[in-house]
Amino acid sequence: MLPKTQKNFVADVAAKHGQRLRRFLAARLRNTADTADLAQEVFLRLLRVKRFEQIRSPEAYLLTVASHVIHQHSLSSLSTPATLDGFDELLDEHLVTDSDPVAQVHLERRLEALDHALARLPVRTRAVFVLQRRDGYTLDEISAQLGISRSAVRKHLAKALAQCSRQILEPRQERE
Amino acid sequence: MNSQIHEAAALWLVEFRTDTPDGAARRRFAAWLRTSPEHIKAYLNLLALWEDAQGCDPQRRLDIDTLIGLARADHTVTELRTDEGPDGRADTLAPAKRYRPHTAVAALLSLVINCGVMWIATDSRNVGYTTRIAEQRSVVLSDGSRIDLDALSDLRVNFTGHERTVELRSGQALFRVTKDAKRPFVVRVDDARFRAVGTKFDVDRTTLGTVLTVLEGHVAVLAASGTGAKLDPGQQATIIHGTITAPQTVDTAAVTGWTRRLLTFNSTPLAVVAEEFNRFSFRRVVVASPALLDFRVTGTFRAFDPESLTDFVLFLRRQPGIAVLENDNQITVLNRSTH
Repeated sequence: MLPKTQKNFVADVAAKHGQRLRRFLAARLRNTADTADLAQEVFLRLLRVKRFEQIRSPEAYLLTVASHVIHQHSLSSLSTPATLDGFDELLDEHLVTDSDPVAQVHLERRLEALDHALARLPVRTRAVFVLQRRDGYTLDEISAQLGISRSAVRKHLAKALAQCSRQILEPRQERE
Repeated sequence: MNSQIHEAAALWLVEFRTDTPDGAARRRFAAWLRTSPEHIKAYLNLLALWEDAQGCDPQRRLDIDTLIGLARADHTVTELRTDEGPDGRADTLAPAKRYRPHTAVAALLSLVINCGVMWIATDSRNVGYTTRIAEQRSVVLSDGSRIDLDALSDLRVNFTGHERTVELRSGQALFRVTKDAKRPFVVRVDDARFRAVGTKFDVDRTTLGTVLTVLEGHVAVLAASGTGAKLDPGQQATIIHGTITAPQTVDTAAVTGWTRRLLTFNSTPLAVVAEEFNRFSFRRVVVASPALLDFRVTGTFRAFDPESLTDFVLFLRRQPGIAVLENDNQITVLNRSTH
């Protein structure tokens, strides 16, 4: 067990790195119609990891593997000389292209679809989700403002996420 | 089946984004991931949505107070049903049930994580600029971007931590946008949005549609119909009822002539010409015959010179089939055959 300060430091670094990773992944997934191939490849790699259940942060591991798969895929399709330690630069590059107008149109379409989906949520679920995502409210702040428990806030968040994604990703299977 | 996976993935994702799951929970998550590629796919898709959602409702149709008010007043859903999580397989699929909020460790650690993950509170600034007839003005925004506003125009500025939004409610404006990759610059009109990074472009709201002209850089258009386009320098497109016309190459100097107080028309419909004159003249030009709205006008007029309007009226009078009635307040353009 790490001393507490050191643990906080590790958590900070992981959080910062994680944020970059998540933005990178989001940008790539946004422009990919079907993530089945990616998921399949990530799945196979996770299966190969010995004692995967013992890994300290399986979520961070998942996101890192997914980024590597995307990275390798884009390298092979672009036939760019492979600089394996240039991964960070590649990340930055992709973050910059995040502001490319065409990528922005993709993002705006997704946001429009998301806004439509949000409008169909129960009022309180929608409020919790928008306050957390758009306005950066913490669980505690939302819990205090709306007078509901932290676990209820979490459930609202998860419900909003699941329902919106169902509507956006598979609008036809909405009523199965 | 599929929706069950989505719900489980959503619970896990919220767990990891808002809290620090303990060792046992992390092991359950790892096992869940290795159950099926479908789980990984669902998790990654939800992650992308979660990240994108930071930009939801950017124009703040619902502001914070409204949201809180609505949620407090909402008694139709007092408690979420616990079967939102897939109860049948609680071992691997229902993290929220295992983490009670009163777990002291979880509460403590959430503070650490929240600091890293949370979006910064917004610093929205709402400013409005309007110009009257024959009044033009230039404004410099807090980010250094410059807007030249034509006469009889109405513009609202709404800057937040992650987007610079400008709403052109009426009239015409020339935008010189300062680069800020983290805060895209978006111009909104009723039925379309224009997004630019380090760009100079002109937006003109006319009765026949909104005309976008790009002078430098690139502008992405997203219209209400869902169609999109990317315009290069020198290109112009019109958005009519949420649909974008094919971009054309135009004389950009003519388009921005108004900033030099020149009204330049090149086969421009009379409906638009009348509107342009009306931005500078207290005597309104009214096109009374619908057939004349599409009558094409070519020529250059000095916007602030009253003689220009006189010249324009003379020009109209010389056209066969057109009659002009004048009084102190109005210049009425009519089809001669109906008169």
